[in-house]
Amino acid sequence: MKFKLIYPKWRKLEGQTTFNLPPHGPVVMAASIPEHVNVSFTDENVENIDFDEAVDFVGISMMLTVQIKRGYEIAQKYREKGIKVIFGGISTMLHAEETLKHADSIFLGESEGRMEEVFNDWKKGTLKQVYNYLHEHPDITTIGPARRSILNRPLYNHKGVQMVDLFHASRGCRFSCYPCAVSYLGGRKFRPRPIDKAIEELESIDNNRLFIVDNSLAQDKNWETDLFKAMIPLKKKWISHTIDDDPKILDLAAQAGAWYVYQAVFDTSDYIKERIKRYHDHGIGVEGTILLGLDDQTEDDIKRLIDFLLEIDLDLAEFTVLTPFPHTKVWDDLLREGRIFDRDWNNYNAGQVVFQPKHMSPDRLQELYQYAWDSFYKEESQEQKMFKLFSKVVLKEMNDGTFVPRKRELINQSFGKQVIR
Amino acid sequence: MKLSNYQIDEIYPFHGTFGMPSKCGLKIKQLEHKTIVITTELYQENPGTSITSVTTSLATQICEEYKIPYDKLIYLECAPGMNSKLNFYDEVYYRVDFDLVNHELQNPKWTKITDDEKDIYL
Repeated sequence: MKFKLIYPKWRKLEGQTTFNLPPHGPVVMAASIPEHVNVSFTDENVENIDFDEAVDFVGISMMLTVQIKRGYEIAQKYREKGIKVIFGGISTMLHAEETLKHADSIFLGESEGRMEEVFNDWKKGTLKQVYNYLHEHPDITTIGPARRSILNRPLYNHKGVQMVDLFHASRGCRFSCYPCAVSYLGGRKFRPRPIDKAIEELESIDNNRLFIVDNSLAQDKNWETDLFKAMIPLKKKWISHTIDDDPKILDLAAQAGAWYVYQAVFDTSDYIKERIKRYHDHGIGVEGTILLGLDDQTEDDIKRLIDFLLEIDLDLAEFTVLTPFPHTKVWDDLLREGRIFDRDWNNYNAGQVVFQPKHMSPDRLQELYQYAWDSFYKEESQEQKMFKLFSKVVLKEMNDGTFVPRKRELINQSFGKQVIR
Repeated sequence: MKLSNYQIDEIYPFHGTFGMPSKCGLKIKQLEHKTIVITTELYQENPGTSITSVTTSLATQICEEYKIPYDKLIYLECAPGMNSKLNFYDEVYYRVDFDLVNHELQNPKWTKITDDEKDIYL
């Protein structure tokens, strides 16, 4: 039987550099599909869906809220042909009740050890409406390498430069941060993968540059230390979210190939300033992630924050507006206060204001969001700053002999499309 | 030890979205003509759905279990403080009013209550 797995496209934010990374959810899910199933994968962000392709069963994997309406459209086309459609992934879990109206079946939770049941049910014609494993996480020691062989690799290149591969070393999160749903999705306990399993997967990835997508690596110092020690011989270079603010761990992270980290910058304190400096002292770059529109931010606070970002020498900054995704505390708070005025999921891209801010109008917050991007990248564009950060990783790779030149045959292509160099 | 003013003061397990096992704090105070129900979010201690994501369903579950007539119900939600300098983690109480449609609770509407009002209810 042929299973068509689809990752729907979404509208990218205007004015920002777009990089299409190989998606993580579909390749993790695909690893748990029974071997007898023939899997055909399409990431609609880099190629069109061939709706005429002969397929028996369709899976739609959705990570972002901005993917779901397109996911529904795709499902409808297949369902009109009598082909059953199952949805899964993070956004399916966040929007489960709504998604069920557009699906033959939805899968909630983590897929390891559960796909045999789904495909057997499909074969027998007894596909369930809901496979609910939200609260039953598989044993973390059973999580094996993702099935990256389903990816159409050349499509994830920009002018011959291969994009980073996504990898996860843990699941769940012991923090319950205001705008985040990860603890709801993956459980409120940090579930680190055994080091040997994580290393086995890292070794299997045919890419020297990675993005470790874990919510935060700073959840268990012993495990984090062991992970970084074990990663050193691999000589991979990687991006991640927060690392523990501990000189020994930062030193190990640098040795293990930390390229740059995403670090939330939420105030103008000396603590933040010093924290950024400590990353830099270890040769680790920093992309600040700055959330605008929180209830404790006035217009002046936002302007001061932007000035501060320019002082602290961030390598990159990414601004987002507060967005109330379901199953987050921000959703609950804004829902109770009747402040969510836009329920069009296509606008939930973290660049469009969909709620009434406390200290200003939605339009003013939208202007300040644009002001933040413009101000930070006024002297040096996003592409220029990215190039500087990219040069740093190239230098590191040249020093340890892991540098791979760009692919000459893809030099005139960007994510599958022809471009002029 | 402070004795509770409440007939019920417990951790209440409830069915969240798609039956997800969830927990909240629950206090019930019986007045002469009304029953005050206070549900409290437990954040990290709640393995499932938040109380606000399933307000109507949770209120219904509690009313059915404790035999509270809908027309006698005063329903409060508490988002407790999280010991943070950030004001969106401050403690806050809401009264939730429902429409009673065909003998079912529907259309929750939240109203933030002041400290004075809180004293009356608590």
